[in-house]
Amino acid sequence: MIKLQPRELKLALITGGVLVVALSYTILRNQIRNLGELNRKELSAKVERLRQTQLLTQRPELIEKLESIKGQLPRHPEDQDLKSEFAQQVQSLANQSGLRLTGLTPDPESYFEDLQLYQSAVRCSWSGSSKSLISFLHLLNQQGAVADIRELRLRNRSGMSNTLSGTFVLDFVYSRIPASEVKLEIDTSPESADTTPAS
Amino acid sequence: MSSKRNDSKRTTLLHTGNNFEYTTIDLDQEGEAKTVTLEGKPEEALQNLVANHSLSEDVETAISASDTLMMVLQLPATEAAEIQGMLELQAEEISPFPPEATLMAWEALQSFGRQTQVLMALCSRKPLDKLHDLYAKVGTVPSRVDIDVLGWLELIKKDHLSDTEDGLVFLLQGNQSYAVAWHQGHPCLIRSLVGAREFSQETLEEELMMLLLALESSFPEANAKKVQVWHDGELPAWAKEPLEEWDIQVEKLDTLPPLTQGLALRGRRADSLDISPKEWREEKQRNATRKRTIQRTSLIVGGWLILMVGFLGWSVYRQSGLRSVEKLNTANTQAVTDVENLSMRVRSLTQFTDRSSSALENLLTLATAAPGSGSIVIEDYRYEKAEGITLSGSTSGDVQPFYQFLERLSAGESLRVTSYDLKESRQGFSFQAEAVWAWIEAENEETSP
Repeated sequence: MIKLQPRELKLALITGGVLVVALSYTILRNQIRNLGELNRKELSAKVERLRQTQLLTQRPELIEKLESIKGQLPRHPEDQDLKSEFAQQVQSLANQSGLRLTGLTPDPESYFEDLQLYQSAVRCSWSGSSKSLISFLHLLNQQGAVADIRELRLRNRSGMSNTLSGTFVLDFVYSRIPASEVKLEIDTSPESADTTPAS
Repeated sequence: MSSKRNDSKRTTLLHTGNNFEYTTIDLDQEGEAKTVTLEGKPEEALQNLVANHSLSEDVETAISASDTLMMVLQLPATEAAEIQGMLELQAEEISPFPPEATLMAWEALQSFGRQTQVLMALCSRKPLDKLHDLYAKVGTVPSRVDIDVLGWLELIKKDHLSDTEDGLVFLLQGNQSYAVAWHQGHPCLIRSLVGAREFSQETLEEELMMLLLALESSFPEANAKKVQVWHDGELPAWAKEPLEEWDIQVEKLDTLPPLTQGLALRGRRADSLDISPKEWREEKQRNATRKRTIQRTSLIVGGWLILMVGFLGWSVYRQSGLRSVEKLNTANTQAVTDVENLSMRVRSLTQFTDRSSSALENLLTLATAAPGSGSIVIEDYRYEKAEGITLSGSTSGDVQPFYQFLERLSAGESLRVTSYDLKESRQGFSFQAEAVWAWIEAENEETSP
């Protein structure tokens, strides 16, 4: 074993101390920097966790709500083409409210597999007074959960409330059921199953 | 003189013949000393002793009186430094050893006015160097070296010689024999006796007379009539016969406590004799300093390591915690996406049953918010069920009705105005404004806290 003189020992200790401090500084500096990043990530992960937990706890409530809404939506026979029927319904409402439909284009039907629901849309251009528009929307609301305005465009170039024009997109959401079930519903209900909400 | 000792336990260790004997005493307490005797080669026995017995860190030992020259002197001084100087001069004159190899130690026995009676011991370095080599093998240096005879005298004094008594003491230990003249609690002459076990009656009487003479020359009032003979092994023939004018008391050495106990008791006194060389004390101090330095360095390095390991461990623990939360989040991603889609669908379908944000309701909200008397005209209006509304129009003259309109619109529960643009025109001001559904803003706030 090498024998060190007190002076050499002191120098060795000072050198060791300086090395330890330098090493500590290097390690701690990197670690503290990493720790700052870690804190941010941890906070973000915890917030995400909280958000996920909250969302997941909402699932049963959402499913219940979805079922409730689905129950209120109209049901149509599986093989029935509904384009002309929806067009007739829109035209009928417009006639009742005094709104003039200048164009009417049905969109193709979409199917939402996860919800087992169908959606059809009708694009219309219109002209009329504010009173006839309000009347049309009012009549639409009175129909219940049959159709809803997805988009409405209104132009008032003259500044007068009786010369309005615009467009709207009307969504119809519904489910389809086998024809045999529709018959059964007709037997038990005084109104037609085609246009009446199920609930 | 020995240095001041502070630690509470002290082991006195003695190598006699083939045996090692040690006594550990607590310096602060009286009590029985523990004594163990080990046999074997000195180095091995000592290593065994250190390894298996709880010796104190400071070890004291003793050399044989046969390796020393002891004398009691009366000096005209009481200061330790003065006494030291006088004794060094005396040692130079009388030492039978070369000056560079002579070690001198002393202890004060008693003081009379400005005079001090001291016991001086001279010794060659050789036996001490042997001791040093022996103890170096177990990594220590004795903190004090005493003389064995003084240990015996300590034990005899304790129970067999009162402080007011005068007398002569013969110590016959193995082939070493010593004679001590004793005056009122202190030795005043210590000399080696050659062939004492084979003394004739005449030789004994001569020795006794010489001792008495020496005692009376120093202390004329001394009245020694008692001779104590302490021996091991066979009792010498001369001790069996009564001696005229002398009261001979014969005792066996093994009836006394172990010698190391006597030496240990002497070691309790801070001013007891220490014949170890000055370099030993320096070496011991160096060793102690080195040990302290190593201990402190180890403590600092250990603390540093604990700190670093703790810090790194904590960091790893945190990272592992983060990973587990992230893992859970990832595992839930699909389920959460499903719930989000479900929520979106439910919201979309809710429009069919809940008409609070329908186009009709929204137009009614606008009509309610618009100030009366045609001060604001909406020229272009766009309603989107999934987003909100965009509208543009003009005011006639004053801009105030537009602000009033915006204020009323924002005060409602369904819409939040996100932006607007206002420009002055010929007739008044033209404006453009955008508003989103309140539930969209609420959702955005939830997802970005």
